[in-house]
Amino acid sequence: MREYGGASGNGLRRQFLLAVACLLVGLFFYLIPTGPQQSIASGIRLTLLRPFVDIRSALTAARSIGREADMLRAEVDSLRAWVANNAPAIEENRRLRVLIGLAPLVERSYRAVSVHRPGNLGSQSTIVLDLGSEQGVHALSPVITAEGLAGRVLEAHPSLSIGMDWSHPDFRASVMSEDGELYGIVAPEPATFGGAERLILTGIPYFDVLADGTLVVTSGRGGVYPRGVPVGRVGGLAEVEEGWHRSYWVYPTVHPASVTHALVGVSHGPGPEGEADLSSLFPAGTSPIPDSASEGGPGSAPATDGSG
Amino acid sequence: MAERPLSGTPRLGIGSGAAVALTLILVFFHFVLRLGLGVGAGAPDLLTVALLLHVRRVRSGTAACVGFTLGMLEDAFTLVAFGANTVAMTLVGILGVQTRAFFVSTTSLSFHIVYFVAGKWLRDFIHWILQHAAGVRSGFIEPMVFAAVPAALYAALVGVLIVRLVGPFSESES
Repeated sequence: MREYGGASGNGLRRQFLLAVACLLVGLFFYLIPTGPQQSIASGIRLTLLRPFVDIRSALTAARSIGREADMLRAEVDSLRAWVANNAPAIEENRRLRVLIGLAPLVERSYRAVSVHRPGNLGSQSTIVLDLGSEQGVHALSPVITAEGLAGRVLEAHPSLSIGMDWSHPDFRASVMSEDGELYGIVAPEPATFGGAERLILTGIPYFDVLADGTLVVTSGRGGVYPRGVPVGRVGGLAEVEEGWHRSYWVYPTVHPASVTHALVGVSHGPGPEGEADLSSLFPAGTSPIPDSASEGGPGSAPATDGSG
Repeated sequence: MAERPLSGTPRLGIGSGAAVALTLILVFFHFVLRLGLGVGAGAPDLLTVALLLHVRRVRSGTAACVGFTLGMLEDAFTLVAFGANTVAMTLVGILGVQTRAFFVSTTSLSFHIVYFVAGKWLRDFIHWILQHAAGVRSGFIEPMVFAAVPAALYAALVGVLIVRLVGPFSESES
């Protein structure tokens, strides 16, 4: 590799052309649509960089075994108590549904998953999950933590999935106030100088006011995120369009950097046209599809417009 | 500063094979720290350090190829502005080669500090511009001053340590 010696005119021209070609190909990759870009990225992720992801998964698993056993035991005990306390209500609900002729509640399907963040420049919104399509994870599967909504899966590989958290510029979710009275859409807002990243809730009617601290949860509309998952708390008025609507700041309940374990929605098999059928994530009665349109029964895939 | 021609056989601080091996080791540790161990910004940007070291002994076409390859690796987990790292590192690679024409005093500490700080900051700056052009809204002061400057100093510290340990990558003054 003695590059200095023998730099003839032809050699210099070849080097110049090679440099220009690399730059142009780089710009080409930068400018092509997201689909082909992610195909290239997937190829690199699943080959050259896969061993590093596996290292991370192994370390996370080892850490979980060692440090988090007590915490997990406490959580399991709490859940056991909660389930015991709510068993009569569940049974009552089941009997009432039979009496009024409703179908049984569909069980939600989730799998526990380890969440990693690559830490490379430009990958701030990227999350890597250690489960993939072999375990039922599909594109659009929601990623949920105990605190609330973390993000969703973008692409699922056989044993690995890539997703985005709520700070991704393309993140949108249909939400409602906790009492179900007001509906809107949340989108991320970049942090101001010295401030934290937050969401902006748009589409609240002008004459309705949300008090600071109001919990905002997913509405289930759009068919991506299940209903009732906490998203954040209202933290002040962002803007008012006189006589039309109000927008509010929402401070998310989940801090993406702190997420190491989560639940990811899984489906029981590929739906029509190869899309994931995530309908099992939605409890009966919250389907975004009107009854008249869902003649295919509970197995019909919900509309997935990407906004959730 | 001098205008010494680049032709002729250089007296290299380390051998070519060792330079390639060191570059590969730095790249490996970059991904072990950032991806494998999840250290994130707590780890130095060894990819840029490896690029800046390597381009001191190759010509512009090869430097662009090295920058392109390392940038593609870095871009693999980028969901927004894919290619921004590739373009940034290719440009930094090409510009890094040009420094040989202007700075001959390649063993001096001050040169290496300025070289690594400027190289790393420029790489972050190009990336920031391309991310901004792709629609990622962020301020300038926080990412480019409060984040990029310490990152550049951190990279310079590691880069200088490596140069001190293994010797300069390009022509020596002696």
